[in-house]
Amino acid sequence: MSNLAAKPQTPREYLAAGEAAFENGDKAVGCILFWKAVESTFAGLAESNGLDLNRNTLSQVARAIDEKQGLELHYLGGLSIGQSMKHNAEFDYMGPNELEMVMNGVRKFVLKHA
Amino acid sequence: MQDRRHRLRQRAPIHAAAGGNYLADAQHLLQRDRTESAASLLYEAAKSSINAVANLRGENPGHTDNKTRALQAIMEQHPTHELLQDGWEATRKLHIHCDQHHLGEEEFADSLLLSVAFVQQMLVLFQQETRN
Repeated sequence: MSNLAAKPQTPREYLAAGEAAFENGDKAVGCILFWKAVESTFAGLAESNGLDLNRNTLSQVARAIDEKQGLELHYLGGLSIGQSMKHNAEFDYMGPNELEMVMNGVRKFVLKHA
Repeated sequence: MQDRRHRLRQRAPIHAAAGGNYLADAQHLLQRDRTESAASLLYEAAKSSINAVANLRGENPGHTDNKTRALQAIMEQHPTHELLQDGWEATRKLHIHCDQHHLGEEEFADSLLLSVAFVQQMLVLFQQETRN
């Protein structure tokens, strides 16, 4: 994030900043920004579903929305791949195919729910 | 080439059986709260289940990142099964956790749940593709 004036604030802005970081070859920063995109998506989901993030963890929010909408692990899966991006920033364990798959999953989730 | 594909198809049920056995053992360990051991077995179950479906298609994925590529090919034919992507990634996370111990209690529990669902889904796909 070289331009601090354009610091992302919304899920889609985090996603766009992450894409730019990956294009610039900064994989660790890209991974963190993709995680922030998912995290901020869940902040919006919690609010729109009447769930207080001071009283619920992100996992509890994901599980509650899955249950409310009768979905099998959709929101929990979206949270999980976002968290994987955060871990990959630290441990760099994903191969190229894996990283591509997870990035696509995060893009799809954020663009669907943000 | 045809011989190789035939041999791979013959190996598919062996991988599926191994995947099912690893899964059953993992679930037994989960019932006894031996979650770290269960996580290791789930990784083996997940790899075996990917090999089973890939072998059925005459492919041999080999190392881990190629398994992910094989899984992507499977997902393209089953686009409604988004759980496959999330479940495999959760399983990978469990595998890394065995070395790094980086997951918090809640994320570890979520990953176990997703991983079990992934293996179950893959074994269902194997049965469906075997019948086709």
